[in-house]
Amino acid sequence: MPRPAILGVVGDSAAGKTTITRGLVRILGEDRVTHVCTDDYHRFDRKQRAEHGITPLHPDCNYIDIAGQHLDLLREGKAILKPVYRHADGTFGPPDYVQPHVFTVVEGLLGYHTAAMRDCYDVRVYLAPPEDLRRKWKVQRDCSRRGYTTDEVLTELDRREPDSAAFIRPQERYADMVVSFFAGESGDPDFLDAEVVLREGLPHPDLSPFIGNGARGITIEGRGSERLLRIPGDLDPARAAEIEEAIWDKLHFATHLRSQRLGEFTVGIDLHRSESLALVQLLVLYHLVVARAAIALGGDGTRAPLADRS
Amino acid sequence: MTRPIILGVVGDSGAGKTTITRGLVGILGEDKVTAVATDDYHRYDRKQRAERGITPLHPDCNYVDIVAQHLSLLREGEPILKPVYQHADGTFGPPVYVSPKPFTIVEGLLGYHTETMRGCYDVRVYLAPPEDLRRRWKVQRDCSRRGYTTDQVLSELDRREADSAQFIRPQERHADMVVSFTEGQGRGSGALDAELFLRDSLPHPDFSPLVGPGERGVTIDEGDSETHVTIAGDIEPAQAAEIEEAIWEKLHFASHLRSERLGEFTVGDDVGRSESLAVVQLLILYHVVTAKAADALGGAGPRAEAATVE
Repeated sequence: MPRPAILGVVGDSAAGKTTITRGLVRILGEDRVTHVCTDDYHRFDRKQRAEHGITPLHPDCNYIDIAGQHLDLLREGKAILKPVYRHADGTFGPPDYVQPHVFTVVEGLLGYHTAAMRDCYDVRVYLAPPEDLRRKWKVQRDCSRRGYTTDEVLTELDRREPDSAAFIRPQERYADMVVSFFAGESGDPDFLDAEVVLREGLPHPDLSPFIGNGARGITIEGRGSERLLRIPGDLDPARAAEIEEAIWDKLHFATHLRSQRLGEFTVGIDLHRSESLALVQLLVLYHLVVARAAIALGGDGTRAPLADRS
Repeated sequence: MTRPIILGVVGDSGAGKTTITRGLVGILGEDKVTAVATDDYHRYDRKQRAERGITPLHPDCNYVDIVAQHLSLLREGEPILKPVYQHADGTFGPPVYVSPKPFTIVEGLLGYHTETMRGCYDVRVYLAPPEDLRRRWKVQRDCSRRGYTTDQVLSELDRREADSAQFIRPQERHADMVVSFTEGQGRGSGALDAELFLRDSLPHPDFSPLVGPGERGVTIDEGDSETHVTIAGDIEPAQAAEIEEAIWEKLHFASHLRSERLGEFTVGDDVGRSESLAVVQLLILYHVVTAKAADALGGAGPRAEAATVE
């Protein structure tokens, strides 16, 4: 089997990692995706972290080298015995035997911390929502699904801030795509604006033909070697469909993957859909699918070789 | 650092693996030895094994491919995140981070089951005590240290026999040294005879000059591709000392390791000493130390040399 194509989705706690990946996994097929969460590589359980006064965001609190080693092994097509961290009670469970599938999706806090890890990915996404939005998301998630109180979550966020600044946010610079969702004027979660920084490490599809047409279209702004793509939350559905069509056109060999499921997200237990989220996910999917096709044809993905970039 | 030298000590449950290795670890130094028990790679905990009616001796009950992977990683000087099986209650504990040290000693039931695994060792020892002696040892150990009753251990032994015959005992053929301690003519447990099969896959030290005519301590029987050596449990201490002296002389570069700790074993809480055990341990030590020295000098190791001689 050719090696798996590996996607990294890195960002602070509650930055939206699972929301982004869930739709991709459903499209690619659960049975074709190996899902790895770097939280499983915590060195200390919840009780030990409290005793040591260390946050899970600190590299010393994680077996970073083993996470890198395991990614390497998966990339080589080998199975791993993955540790299991249980968010429900903050302890470790029996390890999981994980076989490499066609795709590997890695979600985590410190996924780009070391060069060894960064080298493993075909596609590197970093999620950078504004802090006030991330705090809101974290309170919602941790109170509804991980059994914390609002006060506990807010205190924890403050306690983690120095480590977020020192270790998490600096990883943004290594991403091929930096994704930020913003609450628009309405604040309606179905209509968040998206901003995507597209870096030249990967060849992104050209969306310039779709720029403009008033307030409800996308914009692209050049910023040195990167481009900033803005997708308004209230993007005209017809425009959105046109852009998606153009991207799928470039993925003509993978049209069997097309479905209407991109853009879904949950608020509590309610299922919503967002046009801007769908478009961001499709862009990520684009890179993963193209990398996979290149690998299957004997190439080594689509990342520009280091020499070409310097 | 030079790569770790890897010793395998394989045999059925209660065969004496820990007794053999404890003395070696004492000599090599705890800080220089990584101890790996393949029991840690059980796929199912005790409860799951009972539900499925599978014994821990069955390959399907173990992540044997991951054992091989972890041994390869250690051999390459890489750390591993080792799973932990807790014999005390039959469940898995948090994994431990294991750094490679100059020596790795692998104890286990299925250490030579696959060719990939077998390829990892510098020295392969298999322990083959007579079944009646092993049953007695297992009852003593499991009742005193693992909280079972005599009845439970005996019925478990019966339940496991089919898998022992099918998966454990056939591994004997892959060893460089097969070791059996046997009760001689009605002597006490402190004076077991040792029976060794030394295979040509490693160059063993020559015992023949030490067997004088008429002496009853050591016998040697040269076969086609293996030498059969017996060391009487009641060997004269002076003759044992002579054999040990001859082996240490070949290890003249490692004389700083000499100590009186070889030959110790426990019966319940009592510590006993056996001359024949001491000689067997020293022979194993000889191979481990020689492999280390060869590797430190850039050699491929005694196993490769033995292969070229053939």
